[in-house]
Amino acid sequence: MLVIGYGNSIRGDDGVGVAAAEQLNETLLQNSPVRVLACQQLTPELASEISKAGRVIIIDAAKGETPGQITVNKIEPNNNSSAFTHELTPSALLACAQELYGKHPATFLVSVIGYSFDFSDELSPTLKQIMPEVLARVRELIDQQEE
Amino acid sequence: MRTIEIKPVTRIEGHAKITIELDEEGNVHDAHFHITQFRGFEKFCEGRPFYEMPSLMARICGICTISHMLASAKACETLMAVRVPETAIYLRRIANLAQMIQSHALSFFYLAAPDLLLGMDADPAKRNIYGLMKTNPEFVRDGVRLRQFGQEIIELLAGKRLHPTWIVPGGVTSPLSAGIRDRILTSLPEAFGIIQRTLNWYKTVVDNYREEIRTFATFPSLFMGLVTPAGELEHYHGRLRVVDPTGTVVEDQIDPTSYANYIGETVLPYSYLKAPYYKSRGYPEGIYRVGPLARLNIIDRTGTPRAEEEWVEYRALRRQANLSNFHNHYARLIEILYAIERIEQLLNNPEITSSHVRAHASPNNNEGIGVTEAPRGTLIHHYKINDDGLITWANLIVATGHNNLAMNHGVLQVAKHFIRGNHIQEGVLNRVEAVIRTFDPCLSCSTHALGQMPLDISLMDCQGRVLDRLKRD
Repeated sequence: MLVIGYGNSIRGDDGVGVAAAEQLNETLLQNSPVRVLACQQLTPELASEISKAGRVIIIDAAKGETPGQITVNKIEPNNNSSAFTHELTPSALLACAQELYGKHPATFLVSVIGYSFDFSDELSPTLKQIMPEVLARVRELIDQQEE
Repeated sequence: MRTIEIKPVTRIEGHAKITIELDEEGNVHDAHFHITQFRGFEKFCEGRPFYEMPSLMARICGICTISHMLASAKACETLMAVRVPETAIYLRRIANLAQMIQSHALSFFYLAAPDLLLGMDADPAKRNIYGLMKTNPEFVRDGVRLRQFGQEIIELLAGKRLHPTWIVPGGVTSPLSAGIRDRILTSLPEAFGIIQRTLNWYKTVVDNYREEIRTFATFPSLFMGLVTPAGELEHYHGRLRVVDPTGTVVEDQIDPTSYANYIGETVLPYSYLKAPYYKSRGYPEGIYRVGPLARLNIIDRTGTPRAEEEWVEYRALRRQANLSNFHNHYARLIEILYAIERIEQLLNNPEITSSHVRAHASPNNNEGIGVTEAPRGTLIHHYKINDDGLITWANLIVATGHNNLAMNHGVLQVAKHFIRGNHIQEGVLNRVEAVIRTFDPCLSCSTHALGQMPLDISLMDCQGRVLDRLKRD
């Protein structure tokens, strides 16, 4: 099981994925089969990590009209990234894993709608308040795997 | 008169555009490489405590973080007049070399290889790393693995891959354990295998790019970089050496802290990027280049056995200094091999696990300069502080800045060669971009000139008179 939280932690709520990953990591037992990565963006190198996992959970911030809303969706490979950068979308990362390593595990995207993406190294009060629920949803997905 | 704009320039680090000016017959008259982003690090660090500088300056770039931290820490150590423990220097060297591996791998495998493997005229929608995954997955896997290899070493040493706080004025914050040393040593054979395989392949195909080699920023210029006292490759300490297009040493063993005696800086009206030049030749004749091509041009030998063999073969391409920027690709591969060898040597030093990795001191000087070789070339950090240790002035000259005049010259050369009349193929425009990519410019690092507004579009006649100008407010 691999959990990836990503985003820019100095742009306020954009860092919710990183914050969730770090908090989750602190609660895991030392011999936990769950591996947690926190990163600023998705890069092709992560395709290798993903291809070795049985299941993947990706946590990211999203824009929307209802800050704090959490959605969980199963995602499929889709190479929709810009050719201009070395940053990937979650679906494009799965496509890379499929192209390069011949497989992609079942992957769930946990999206959390942010309130503020201004310069700040803290989450907004809205997202701080919702963080236990974000972690609970991630743990549910982890437990589904263990069952 | 017609102006062609390429915006944005793709597969580089940052944001830029190129304008090409045609005369009435449709022939290329002039061309410019515009840096259209602005950062301002030199100004907003003023007032900060000097010891914050390595972590603050690391934020300039997500690719060459370690180089900025090192140049910054070295400048701070001059302020402190402190002697850094030898083991800390060894560990810093390993981190810097690991960063060079991951950066060169990114440049070669992710950014340049689509042109090399799929062709300059291939469909632009497929001429990228994703296109390569379909046609050459093994090649991309090698690139991914090599980049991971460099990133993992940085993470193992410094705690995290991006913006670690491990390098501090006076040394590093934690020593290397024997377990981590052994883990890195175990991963070296795979890295050696990948780079040797890639070099062997590249040497079989390099002749396919004769036209690009002949026209991609292939012009006489000076070359500059750090060398050891024995004239070998050096990426951490060392002294500056300048060679001319014939390979003759113009200036040698320059104390890097006296850089201002040798390098002048001017501002171009169309770019946020400053334009340094070699002072004794004046502007613009003092055009020089830094980076992998320059480093392999200025040395007498590499200093490691396997890279030395490759370098001797590479130098056989041209007895004098290698003038084609296209050969930066080849030079990067040789430097990756060198870096893996040097990392192995450093890890096998018995002192590498010493716990003495940091010295402490208060500021003892009001001015400090730190110089290293970043992946893209020579990196200079220069600070002044007041008696309270607060930064009052900072000047940075980064690799992409050193190469600014050469990049403009290269764009003009390739545009003149490939563009004829009014009919312009996409592949031709890609070649104009590709010449910039050979420099692997990092625009995030290099844009901190103040007071000049960039032009979005400039229209000029053959005498250089501005006919029209569209300018941002």
